[in-house]
Amino acid sequence: MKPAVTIRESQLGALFRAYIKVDASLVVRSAGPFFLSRQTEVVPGARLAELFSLRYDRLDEQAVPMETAIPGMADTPERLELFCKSKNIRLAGIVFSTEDGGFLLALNIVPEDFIIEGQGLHISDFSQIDASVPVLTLIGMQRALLAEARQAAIDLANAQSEALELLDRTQRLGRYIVHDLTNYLSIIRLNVANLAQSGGNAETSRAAIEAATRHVSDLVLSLERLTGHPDVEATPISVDQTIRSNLAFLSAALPSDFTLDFIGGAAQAAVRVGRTELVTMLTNVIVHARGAMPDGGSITISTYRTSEPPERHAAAPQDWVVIKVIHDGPAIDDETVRLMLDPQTLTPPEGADFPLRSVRTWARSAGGDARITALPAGTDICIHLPVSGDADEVELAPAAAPSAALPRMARTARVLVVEDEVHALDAVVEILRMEGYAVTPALNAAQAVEALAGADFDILLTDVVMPERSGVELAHEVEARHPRIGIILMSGYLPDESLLQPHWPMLRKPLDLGLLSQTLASTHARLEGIAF
Amino acid sequence: MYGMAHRALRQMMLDRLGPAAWAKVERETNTGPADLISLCVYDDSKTIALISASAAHLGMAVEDALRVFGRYWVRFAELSSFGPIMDFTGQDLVTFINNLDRMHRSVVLAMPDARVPSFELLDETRQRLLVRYRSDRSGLEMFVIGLLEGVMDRMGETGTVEVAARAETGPGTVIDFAILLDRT
Repeated sequence: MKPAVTIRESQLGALFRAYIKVDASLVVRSAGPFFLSRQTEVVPGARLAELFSLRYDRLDEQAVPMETAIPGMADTPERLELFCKSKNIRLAGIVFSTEDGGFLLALNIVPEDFIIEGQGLHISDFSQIDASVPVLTLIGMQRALLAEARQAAIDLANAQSEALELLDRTQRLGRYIVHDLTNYLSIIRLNVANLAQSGGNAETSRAAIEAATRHVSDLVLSLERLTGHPDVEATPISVDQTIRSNLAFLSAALPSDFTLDFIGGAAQAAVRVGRTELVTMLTNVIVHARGAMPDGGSITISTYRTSEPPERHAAAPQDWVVIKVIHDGPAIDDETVRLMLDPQTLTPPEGADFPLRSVRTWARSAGGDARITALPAGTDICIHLPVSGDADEVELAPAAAPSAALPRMARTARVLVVEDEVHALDAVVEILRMEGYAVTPALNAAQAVEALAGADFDILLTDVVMPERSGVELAHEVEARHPRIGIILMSGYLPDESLLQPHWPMLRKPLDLGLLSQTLASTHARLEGIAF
Repeated sequence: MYGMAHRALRQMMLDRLGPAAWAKVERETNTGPADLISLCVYDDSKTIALISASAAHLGMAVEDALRVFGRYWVRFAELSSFGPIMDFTGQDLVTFINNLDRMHRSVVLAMPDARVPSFELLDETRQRLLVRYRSDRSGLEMFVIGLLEGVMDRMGETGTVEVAARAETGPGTVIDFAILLDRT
């Protein structure tokens, strides 16, 4: 009988990639392209029962013998599954009997667990109509997407962590800059007012305004760099020239019982930092030293150039400028030193160590570092900055150090003014004296307490953010010891309200002179029991 | 194109020029994480913008960058989490090319908007393969040359790829590429 359909071997291979033709004894006579494309044992002459099992667990002794099972399935729709004994391969299909008494096992590959990896299967191992190809591909895509999602989650977490770190650093640097900027703006505003009233020392005010304006301008550049302005990059400046030309300005931060010396040994070595950033950081170091030396003393700034890197840049092959600030004040212990510069220590802006912490933050942002070493007597503060070339620029004329303010006629109210920024202090003192107040200046809380021990005052006008002790701490102490003294605070920040008394007026820096005058007058009037 | 191409381009730029350069490319092309999802289909203009910007940073003509990128793309896919699908497509040159269309047809099931090309092996000798490339896109000739070079790299083969014939069929592209293998 002629078969209803004639199928050529090539067509058979396209439909059933793993077909096997066997004779009546189940000996292989030919096999499909799946076997031909691989070096398999499914070759003519091989015995089917030695290559495959009818059981998934390959336990043939518990299965129906293949010689019985396969003839029984012939020409029925019953599914035949063969499990390769030597490889993790499963074949499935149906059985046809052939004219020569043998069998055609029309088989295709059934992928184990529908996972591509490790099976060594190719798309062409499956017939064109086999749904296993899209299934395996889609499963592979799903697994790839899961891996991508996992990586995306990790990347996101890392980016979040970096962003938080950057935000934290930006906030810290921002606070430092705002602190410095506010001081300089106060100096400018008060000295402009001083000039306008034509009663003050014009040269002092002019010098202070000029210096403060220059520094504010540089601070704005610093802010722009901090906020990532693409076009702002610091021009290299000579460290020695910058310090030398601002020495008078730095000296102005110290009372008369201090000496400030400078030994410049870095020659023309230039660093890529803002001029005012450098001056401001040195001012901070000096202000801190001043606070640590209530009895006065000497402060020496020295510079030198070296190829020896700071500790955290041990592998960086380049030159460094080292700025050392040494003072002969009381010694401090190592733990205090560690806490002074530890960025993890939470110190509010009005904390005593705020100036030094800002130095390290600034030095690191400039690619360098800062360290502090306790000496048997005094402290050694060492700032490393990377050299970016040699400078040959001509420095601006040094700002003149302010001379002593001229006393003006006194009026009834006696005001103790506490301000750690010397120019701001000079300006406030001068303005108030011109308004007729009897004014005593103090550069910090310690000086204020000392002044209170020797004289009576009606009003304490104090800055909040100061080294060593904040104005808020001072105000609490003064109110406890001298309850009749009126207290006025001034600050560029809004301090924690829980630390303030509701009857303490708070003036925001930069100071509004009209408001300052009004607040002083009303406080004095209140103390005197006068309606105002 | 789909986002996997964008990810591959990003990785190539990271490898060659570092993160700052890629950040500039992203800024210049207004690209963000949402443009880098492997199986999302994006407008071709986004891909072209990314390749053009990358080429400028690499100091290459766009055509040269396309070829370099095509070659890199295969390597990227192989090393990525899509590597098993590459293996599944084939582990020798002929099998791989013969199976590309079936692989693409499966991929399109998950991305119905994807416009995938077709590759047909027209002729095969030991030292020369003739491959017909069909696409409804145009302008990617150098990219395809890079792809075929990348497939040769993957299979441990060396040789050259050249255009054997171009057919003008209106919209889209039909190009026959000859892969000349350094086989003895």
